[in-house]
Amino acid sequence: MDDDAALLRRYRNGEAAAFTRLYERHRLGLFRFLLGLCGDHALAEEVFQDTWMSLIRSASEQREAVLFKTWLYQIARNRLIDHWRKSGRHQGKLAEYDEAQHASADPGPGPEQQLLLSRDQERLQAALADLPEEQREVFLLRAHGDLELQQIAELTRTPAETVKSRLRYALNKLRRLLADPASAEEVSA
Amino acid sequence: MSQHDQDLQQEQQLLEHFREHSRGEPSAAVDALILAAAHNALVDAQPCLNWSQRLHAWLFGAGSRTRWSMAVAGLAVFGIGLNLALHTREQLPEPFDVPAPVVGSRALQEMAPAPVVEARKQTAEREYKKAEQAQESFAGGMDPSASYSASPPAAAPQPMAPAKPQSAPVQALADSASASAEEDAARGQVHAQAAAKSHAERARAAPGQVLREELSEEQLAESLGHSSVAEAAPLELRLRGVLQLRREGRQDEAERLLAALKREYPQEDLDAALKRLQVEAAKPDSSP
Repeated sequence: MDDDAALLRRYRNGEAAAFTRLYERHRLGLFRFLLGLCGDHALAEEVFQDTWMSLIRSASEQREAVLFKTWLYQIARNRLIDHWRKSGRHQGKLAEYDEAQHASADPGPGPEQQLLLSRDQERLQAALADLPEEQREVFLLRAHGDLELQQIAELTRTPAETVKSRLRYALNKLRRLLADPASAEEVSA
Repeated sequence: MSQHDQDLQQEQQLLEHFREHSRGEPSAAVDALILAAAHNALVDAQPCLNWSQRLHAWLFGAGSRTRWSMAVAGLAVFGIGLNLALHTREQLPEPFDVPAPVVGSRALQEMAPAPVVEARKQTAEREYKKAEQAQESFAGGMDPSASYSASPPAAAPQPMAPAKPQSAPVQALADSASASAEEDAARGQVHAQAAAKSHAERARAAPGQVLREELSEEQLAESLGHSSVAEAAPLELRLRGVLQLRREGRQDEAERLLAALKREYPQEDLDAALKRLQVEAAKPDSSP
């Protein structure tokens, strides 16, 4: 199985099928990362398209030291941030506040509670939206981009320890929101 | 199970849960747009490739493995073919159309009929004498005796036997060849006599032109006989012919030829030239 860099090189050398394989490999993950981050399907599609177009138009080869996936998600993230800056409509929640709140007490769900994890799509989206932006971003990169903590740290230009704690807080909160019906009602209300 | 492992397991469960139940995906229109853009970008970019990029793409791009294997296979086939061709060429028997070896040609030369051998000898003699004349004219009047006394080169043929009368070749042919060959020789003699006659007439009319045609006449004479050669030869050679006739005791013929020469070359002192040639002919015999 060819890795992403080889597929991109083959595409640059004129093989259109290599791009199709690359696109199919990262299509869903990248779109769900953008959708989870902005919560707007149309905006996610716009940024998604813009990201791939940027990749197509860019004649430069990907640097070997950087994983293709990291590079792709970084382009998408930067595009979304540019869009937010232009529109001036986005205001994320303060991560410090949220981290402080959830760091105080987090008992964690037991095995029984995990079975009760809601599969309701709306509840998942609501719980995700309730996360601070930095935690949500780290969680989405981990869940849909399947990136390691170190790669997320490079992409977001954040220390690895901070990324690790953000992910831990995000997981705890999501687990709590999805397992506890009261919390879930509170979130969905 | 430690707390760390338990945390990792719970993290993986939650991540899997999210991955399984996320539903968002780009529309088919966006997919088509992106893929079409990627394809168009390739089509637009390809003419801009320079030769090195094209070569690189050809060697290492799509289907490069097949190309490499085809190239290696082609090279191997070429090498095997070349090797076989060279090997077969080495083992081929000698073709029949190659020239016979030197030994064979010498033997054939010995087996050749007398007139042919004689004609060859005469030709060699004429060439030798021409060279001698050229040397003489080059030396000028500085020391004529030195130039005349120069011995023939080692490779040069021995002095020839006296020119035989015109019936001699016919006789030789009659001895050695069949009746048909005899007829051919007789026909050749008639032709040679006619040619000699016409040549003499033309020589009287325009000596320069005769000299120009001399070479071709000589070649023709080689195939027909040597009578016309005696007519066409330069003065010195013809004077040698006079001497030869005298030595053979055919005084009448010698005198007739000398008179003809005197008519042809009134300005030349032919008697003095005859004496000089006589002395010159006597010298090689006296030398050891």
